[in-house]
Amino acid sequence: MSAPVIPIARVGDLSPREFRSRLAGAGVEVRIGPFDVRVRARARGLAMPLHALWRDYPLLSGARVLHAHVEVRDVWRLWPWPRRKVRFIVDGRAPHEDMPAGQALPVLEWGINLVIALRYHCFLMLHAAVLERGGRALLLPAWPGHGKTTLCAALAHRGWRLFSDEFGLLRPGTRELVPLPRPMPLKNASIDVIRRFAPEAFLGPVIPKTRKGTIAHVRAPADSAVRARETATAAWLVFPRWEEGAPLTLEEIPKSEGYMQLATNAFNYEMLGEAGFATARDLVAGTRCFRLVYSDLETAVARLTELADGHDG
Amino acid sequence: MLYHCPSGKTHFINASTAFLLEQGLGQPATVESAAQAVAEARGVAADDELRADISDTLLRLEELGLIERA
Repeated sequence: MSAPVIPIARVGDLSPREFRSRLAGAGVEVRIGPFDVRVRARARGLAMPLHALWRDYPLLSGARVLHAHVEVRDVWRLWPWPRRKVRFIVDGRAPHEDMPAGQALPVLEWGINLVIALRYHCFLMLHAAVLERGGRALLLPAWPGHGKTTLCAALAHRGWRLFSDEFGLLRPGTRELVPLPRPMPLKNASIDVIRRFAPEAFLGPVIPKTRKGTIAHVRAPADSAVRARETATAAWLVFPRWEEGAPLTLEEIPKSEGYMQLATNAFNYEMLGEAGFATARDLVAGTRCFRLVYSDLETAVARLTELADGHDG
Repeated sequence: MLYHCPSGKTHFINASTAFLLEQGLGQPATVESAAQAVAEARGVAADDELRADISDTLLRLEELGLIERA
């Protein structure tokens, strides 16, 4: 006789009113990838978009040790003139200055990124988008502006499972990547690109004038959030770069070059010392490394899918 | 690639330098003995040009803290 299946309550099981009430009160405890987090918020315009974007996150219940207690709240500044700002707080402290009013959603998401990047050195953290197909993982390490998040959002809506658009989490000594499916922040022109590319994608509100320009978050596909405990082994390391009008090229590069680019795109490579070196070395040794230049999202997604499906010549 | 445990730094080195570190400097060596080891491996003569190259490389490795002068 099989064990009874206990359904996991998710954020979307709460009504928007209940979610908002909990956020403003004791907080909502959610599992975000491998992290258990309590979130409190009293910020105008945040609760409803967050309810929709976090719809598939598991809710936690019962007493437990949490990885972080984060909070976003509106505060008033009286000097030099009265105005509302947004404050991010982690474990009772504000790690940076207050941000402009109306940006609570990106401030919360960036704040969670900050907490992860600064604290969880049990992982080698690569600055990379990660997706899975056929049980194997694709890493897309890139500098800001190279089209990483856009390409990641596109792949996540064409048969790839989203792990993260920002963090490649590797347990030291393994090539196992740990999912951290989060809303993907599209910037500026990429917002309409993804709207056209994947009309079924759910986007949060368009938020102008952030420090990264205009932002809209794409919700992680439900399958990615539901399967957030399923790791995958790294198989491909692709360094993408969007270039206007460029023809598609996917060129295999030496592993030494792949290593150099990977290490310089890591959050905590040097902090982990020899363990970071060994983990990155084994990752590169076990993967094929490529450089991707693209301008057309459709052909880039098709080419990477061919690669994953074994039609790469 | 080379990871230097004392400094925690990663260095990207070419094949000749890797050979020099692995084979030519496995034990205390002089410019002359390192040049001989490289020359034998390459099948060339240990001439002045090779010695000068080895000497420059050793100075750079010393600057990086990867080798020490006795």
